[in-house]
Order: sequence, then structure tokens, then C-alpha cells
Amino acid sequence: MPKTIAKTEAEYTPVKIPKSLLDEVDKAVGKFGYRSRTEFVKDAIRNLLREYGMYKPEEE
Amino acid sequence: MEACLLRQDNFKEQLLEFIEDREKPFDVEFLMKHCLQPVSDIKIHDVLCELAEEGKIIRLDDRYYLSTRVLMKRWLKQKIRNLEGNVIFDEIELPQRLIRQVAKLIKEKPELGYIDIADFVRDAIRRYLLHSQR
Repeated sequence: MPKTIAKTEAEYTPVKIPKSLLDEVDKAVGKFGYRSRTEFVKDAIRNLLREYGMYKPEEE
Repeated sequence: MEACLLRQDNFKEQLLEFIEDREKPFDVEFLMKHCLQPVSDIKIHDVLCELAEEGKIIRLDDRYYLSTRVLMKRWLKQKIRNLEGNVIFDEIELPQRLIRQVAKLIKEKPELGYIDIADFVRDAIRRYLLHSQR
């Protein structure tokens, strides 16, 4: 079990975001049917990467 | 801004006026397209070199330039944002594979002006929030 936790932690990176911005995200999460703020932020990142022509779903 | 065309007379001043507030990077080819009269790529390149020497534009790589004013505005905006009264930060866990794509973009496209991964993520969130509200 500890091994699983260690692996999961290694696959994620913490990123610092102003709390005020995350509060706005929290409001949008329910409104737009996201399961969590992480899912919302992931979609936001994918969207901007796509805009710059740099999103590769196969590398996710 | 896009509709503004350049003329041969006072070329340097007009070129600077044209690109000074341009948010996106530009190259010689882009400027040639916006010249009212034909101007050689060499002349444009020479003027860009002069402007870069004067510190009015920044050379991003072998091809692209960006206005120093635009770059400074971005930097100041970021600094002000960070300094704004007691900003409280929270952490969010994001998949490394996605973050690696962001890191790659920041490295390959410095002209976009992102200072780090968090800067990109914040911009992505703001844009997505705006987009969602439309």
C-alpha cells in the first residue's frame, strides 16, 4: 500500500495558485459539471496548450 | 494595429510605433507584409537591429522580436500581482505528464512570456474562467 501512495505522489506536481483564483474555480466547478477543481484546471491547461498548438493527448 | 501599414519615410519611427504595443512576437516577414510600399527584408532587418541595440525591442531568437515595452508590462503586471497585498496561495496537484507539456511549451516558446509553470497555469485558469462565463 505505501508503494502505491509513493507512486501516486510521484506522478503529481504541486503548483501554487492564488487562493482567490482557486475560489473562482471552485464556484465554476459545480456550475460546469466538473468533479473537482483539479479536473477544471486540467481542462484549462489542455485548452491553452491546444490554443498554442502544443497539446498532445497521447503524452498525457 | 494589424491594419496599420508602413511607409518608406520615417521608416524607423513608424515601425517602432507599429510594433511598440504589439502583444505577439513579430519577424521580418510579418513586417514586410504590413508595408505600404515595398521595403526590402534587409532594410527591415537593419532597422530591427538598430531598435534592439537601442533597447526598444528584444530579440527572442534567430527570427522573432518583441517590444521591450510589452515585455516590461508583462513583467510588471506579474510583479504587481505577486506584491498585491498579502496574496494567499494554495497548492493544487497536477499530473506530471501534463506539466511536462507546459514546461516544454515555456521552453520552446519564450516569446509567449511565461515566467514559470505556475504563471502558465494561472493564465490558463483565468482564460478558461472567462471562456466559461461567455
